[in-house]
Amino acid sequence: MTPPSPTADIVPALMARFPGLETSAYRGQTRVVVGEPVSLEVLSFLAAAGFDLLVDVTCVDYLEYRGATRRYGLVYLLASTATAHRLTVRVFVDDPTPAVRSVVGLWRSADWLEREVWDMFGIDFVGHPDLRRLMMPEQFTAHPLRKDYPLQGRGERHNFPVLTREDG
Amino acid sequence: MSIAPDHDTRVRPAATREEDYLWTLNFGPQHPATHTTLRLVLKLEGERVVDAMPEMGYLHSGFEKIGEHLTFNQYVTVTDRMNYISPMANNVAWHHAVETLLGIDLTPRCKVIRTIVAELARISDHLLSNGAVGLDTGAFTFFLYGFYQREVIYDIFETLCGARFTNSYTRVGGVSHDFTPLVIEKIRTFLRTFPKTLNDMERLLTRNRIFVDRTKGVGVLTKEEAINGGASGPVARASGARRGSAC
Repeated sequence: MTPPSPTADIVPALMARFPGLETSAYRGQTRVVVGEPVSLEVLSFLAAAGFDLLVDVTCVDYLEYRGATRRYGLVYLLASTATAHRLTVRVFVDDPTPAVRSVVGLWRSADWLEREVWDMFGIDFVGHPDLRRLMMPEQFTAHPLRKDYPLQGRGERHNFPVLTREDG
Repeated sequence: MSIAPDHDTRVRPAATREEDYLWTLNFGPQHPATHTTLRLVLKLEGERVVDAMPEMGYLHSGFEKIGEHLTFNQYVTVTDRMNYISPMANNVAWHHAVETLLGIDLTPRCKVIRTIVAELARISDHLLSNGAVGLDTGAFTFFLYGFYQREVIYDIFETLCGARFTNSYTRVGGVSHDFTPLVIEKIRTFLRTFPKTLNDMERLLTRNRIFVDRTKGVGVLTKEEAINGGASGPVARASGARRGSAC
């Protein structure tokens, strides 16, 4: 059973407020593509329009994708607990300095979700209160989920400093 | 022979704050009560936890990175390990997503089978989670009542597909093993006998004075905090959200 689609009311209101946004629907899910300069405003509009649950913030690395123009595609999955609407917001950014503005002010769950994206992809979240690594250790230097980082790693596991009983 | 200095040279610490009298305790990552590795640095005032700083990442397994190298039917084994307390439910969710993207429709029988196994896995998950509440507060009988029923569910899964745990049960467009009459009979027996255990578990703890005193009002999460903080499932429902997820 597919959940009700938000295209009926919220997406037209969004397009009226921000003309020029690209929107599409696929397999019952609706998505909106937003450029970085207005990403925070669009997400604020959607948060005020009833999307009170930020389900996930994640990213796709289009490094080896045919026909890709920008390398990183951020994905914001929004949901409304009152009406069961779901919406996907895509924000595309590129090397050398991928950066978007943080949405921590809208949803507190964005705190750790953006830390994870920073950790795994290296996208800077401007305005985040505490942007540091979440899952990898603090001393780790690479961004593992990028497509140019190998699955087996670059030997970090073997070069980890070990404290013996005498040192500790 | 010493020359007395003309000023007080004793070393004094900087002015102490109220919070410096709190105990800082490292909890984990190797600790049985963390239920797999989590590191918390707790600030304690007596027995009350005043502040907790979590350090995550010990259980980070690189599921997404591994997924870049596997086919759809191979990856289902990795989804088993995600929420490993209810592996069947993860398998169903993974293949549901794959089939939605591929545009494949399932037969009604397959949908019914997947729903049944996902619900059994969910019951098993909740039995473990609630049992762990009992285990951590010392109510060991409650824990064992729940775990005995989990063994019954594991037996059903073993009869169904050969694996008690991490079943990798679903495939693209279907499941790996069909239901046999024996499986159906075992599920019916479970459904007949499980409500009594649930009743026993509830009578043990729900109105137990000691348990209520220990848990009521502890770690309260308001509804707005829960939704804004991204809580879902039982955590959100416990905080008063009408649905456990937005659907």
